[in-house]
Amino acid sequence: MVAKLTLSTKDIVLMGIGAAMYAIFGSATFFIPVGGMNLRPAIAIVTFFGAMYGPIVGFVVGALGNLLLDFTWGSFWWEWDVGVGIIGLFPGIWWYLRDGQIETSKDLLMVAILGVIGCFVGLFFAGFVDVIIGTPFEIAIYAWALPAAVTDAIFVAILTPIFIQAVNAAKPKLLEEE
Amino acid sequence: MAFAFKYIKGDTVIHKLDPRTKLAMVFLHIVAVLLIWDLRILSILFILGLSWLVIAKIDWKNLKKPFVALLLLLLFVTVLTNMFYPTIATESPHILYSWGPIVIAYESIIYSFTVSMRYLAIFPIATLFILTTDPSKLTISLSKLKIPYKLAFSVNIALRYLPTLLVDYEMITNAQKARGFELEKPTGGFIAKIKRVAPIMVPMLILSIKRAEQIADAMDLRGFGAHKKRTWYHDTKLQHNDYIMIGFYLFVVLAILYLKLYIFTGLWIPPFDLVKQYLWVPLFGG
Repeated sequence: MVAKLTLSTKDIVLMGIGAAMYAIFGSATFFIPVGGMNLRPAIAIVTFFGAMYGPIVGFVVGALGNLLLDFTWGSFWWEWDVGVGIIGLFPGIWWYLRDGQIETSKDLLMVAILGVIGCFVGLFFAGFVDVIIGTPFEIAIYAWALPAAVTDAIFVAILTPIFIQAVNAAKPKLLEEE
Repeated sequence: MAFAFKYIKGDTVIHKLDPRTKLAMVFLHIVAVLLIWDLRILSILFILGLSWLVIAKIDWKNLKKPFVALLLLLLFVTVLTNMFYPTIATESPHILYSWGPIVIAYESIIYSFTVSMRYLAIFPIATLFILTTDPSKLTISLSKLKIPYKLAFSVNIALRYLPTLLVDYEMITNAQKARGFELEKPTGGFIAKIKRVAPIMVPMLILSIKRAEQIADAMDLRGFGAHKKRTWYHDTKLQHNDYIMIGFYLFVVLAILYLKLYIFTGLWIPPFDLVKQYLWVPLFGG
């Protein structure tokens, strides 16, 4: 059986809230030096939503969240918004194949691997669009896409499984309080 | 905190424009900026954007932080990466300074400024959109643009919950700090440092999912999504001013397209000798 790709009301709300969360964490951690680099751990939020609620939710959280983040810096680069959306789409593939059940350690591993692949596919997509628009290849690929993809991939690989485990563990408690 | 942006109520001409008009303004302004590589025209577009902010009576204190942050970002990202490519703009650059592998050319400085100006020229119009557009009116306008209303609702929820989540974020950060948590503690390995964001992000995720469930329940109880089409309590209509504004921006884009094709075709580099004679020498000496 394969999970349905129709959107429930909860998915609609989660897309909006996830995007807002990504924008807040993205701007809050923009200049935080972790291990000597300026990194964006918020990217793991995108893969988390992709893994837990499917590719469409993941894509919208990434693309809409990055769009909001862009606006706070007063810019608009649609190719990077789509790129971050693609990052959210990839872990959703495993969600689709597993019928929405992401629980075992094998699931966590597959989600992390797909998330890492997504980082490279999404950000290199954005880099290549920039090359087509007119940025020199060295800058778009080596200075923008590659470092971003590598650091994002590290965050995705480490943080996404932690988030999924924590939220899965909290699920029974969430229901109790209702 | 950089994220100080949300809709501020107002009663100016700009506030009264339809969200669709403002979307068109943002889109056409960006098209105009992306077309041109000429510092003079980009400056005019920047000033055009600023004048909308003045008309909308936006307080400078709302813009100061993001503006400074953008300037810093531009300094690091565009200026410092482009400046050291002497041949980025031309095959035969004027070398101003060279020391080993570091070569700074006059043309690459101009190129860096132009790229920075392309970012800066978009800043006022993007902030104008966020600061003067009511999210719930935006939802109605988006669905009138044939965007599925469910997606339009996601956009609405994202804009509506930005300030709420910001309060959550600060609350959780303070609560964790009270427990002795330090985000920027210098000890621990590379992976330990990365894992240190989890004590803030995990409570935030759980809180958000819980909140999303409550919102979704409330929406389901009111029959959200029961029909393919829906109506809205408020209606938005394009007024006189909306047509004038869209017409004005179409004119701007056409004018820039003309300039791009026939007059300012490429990157504008001010003549080196003139800049040296009238700017460099008076300011810094020979």
